[in-house]
Amino acid sequence: MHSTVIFSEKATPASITEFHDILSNDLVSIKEKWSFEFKTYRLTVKNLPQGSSKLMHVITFTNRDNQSVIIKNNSAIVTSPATEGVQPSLTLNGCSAGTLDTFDNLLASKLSNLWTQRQNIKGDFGSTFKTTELTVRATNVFSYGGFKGLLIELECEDDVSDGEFEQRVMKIRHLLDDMLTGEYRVCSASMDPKNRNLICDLAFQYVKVLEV
Amino acid sequence: MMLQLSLVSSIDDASYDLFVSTLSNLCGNPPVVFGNFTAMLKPNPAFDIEQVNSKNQLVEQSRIKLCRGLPLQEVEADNAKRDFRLLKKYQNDEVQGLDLQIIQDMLHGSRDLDEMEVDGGSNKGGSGAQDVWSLSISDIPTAGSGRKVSTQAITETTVLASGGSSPSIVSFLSELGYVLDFQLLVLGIKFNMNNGVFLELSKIWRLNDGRTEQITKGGFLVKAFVNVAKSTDIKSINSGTTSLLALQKELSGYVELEIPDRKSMDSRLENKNDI
Repeated sequence: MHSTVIFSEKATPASITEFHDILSNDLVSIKEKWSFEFKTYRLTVKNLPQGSSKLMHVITFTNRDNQSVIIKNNSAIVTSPATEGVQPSLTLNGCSAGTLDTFDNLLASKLSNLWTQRQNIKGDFGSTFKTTELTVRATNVFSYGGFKGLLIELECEDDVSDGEFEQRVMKIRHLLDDMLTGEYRVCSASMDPKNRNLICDLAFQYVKVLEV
Repeated sequence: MMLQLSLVSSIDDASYDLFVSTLSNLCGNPPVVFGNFTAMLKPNPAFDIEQVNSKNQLVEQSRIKLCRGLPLQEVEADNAKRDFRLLKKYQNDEVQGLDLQIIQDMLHGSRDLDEMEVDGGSNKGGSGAQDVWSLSISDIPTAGSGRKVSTQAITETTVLASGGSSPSIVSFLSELGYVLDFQLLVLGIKFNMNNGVFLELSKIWRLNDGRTEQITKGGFLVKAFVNVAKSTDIKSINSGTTSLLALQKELSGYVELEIPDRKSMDSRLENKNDI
């Protein structure tokens, strides 16, 4: 499983329609709508060693069972507020009471002395396109109501080699090069290439392209 | 945020058999054996943490509770033998049959990749390095002299997996600002009473430097509780309270269910010195 995230700040709100038009020749099907939420938190502790990172990111994917990935430096966890997602081993063994909150909620209600929310970036009601090679998700990105740019998420469910995936991504990038003016940011990196984890890697790529 | 209503008591080891048969008769079902591992974490003491947040509201530092089921097949391989009698073996400091290394691997992530596969496999079809935990923070139970049961608010979320270059829950939580404080092992049985009341009998061990010390030596902790999903659901809170009080009355004269000391249920950091 491979993924790549692309973000263009130079795009206009209409770019997503244009992108759809260009892509339409290769489309197999149009799938569900999707959203994401990207929140940045800042550690309030003052006496940290010099140079250590103070930022933590929480990325929530509505199209992936509302799971959130929380990333700080090179560590990540995946959490879920979905009650049906509670593992039976947790309830049976008296670990979980079965009523869950989001991690954002936990940060806001219990850990607000340690973490303050700084930024809230959202992509609402984005489109999902399926081509023969990739699943392409595109959405306009907003921050507190203001337009920020166009975000494109590329995912390959097939088990292909890194090189093959790279080629498929390049085809999309060529389309974008013709369409968009100016630079855009791309990230295909994995948090840990030896031990790939799709949702963690995806969240990591969001951080890399959205965090300036 | 959910509410847990509870009453507690204790019995001694000798009363165990009779208590189990009494309760089995009362609720109509035999109890279920359960086991869990709990790690409590506290804010990193090296950090200079403010008492107020950015909105200038007072926020006290609380501990985080991490909890996960124990692989009971390690304790007793035969599924049919895993009933309430199992607990009679555990009257001492030692937790027989449980490899403590497994627990350390759960927390810190196994260094051996092969081992991780075995662990994942035994947790019912987990794929690779699954790291499923319940993560919660609880408030101090509500105060007031007129209370009939203990009422505690708990904020909980589930951790499904850890990732990154050192994938373990502990390495992430240290980034969050939390370090390990103390660790507990619990083995117990649970009765599913009527009206949403659960009654647990448990043995608890404190884990220290790879050794276990039983803190319930000579007896069992008895805890009856009702979980209410919404803290604003007055109707469920009232009916839960009524059910608990009915059980308290039924067992009265045999086992006295009481409101636990709310201070001992307080997970705030400053509290520990008071007990």
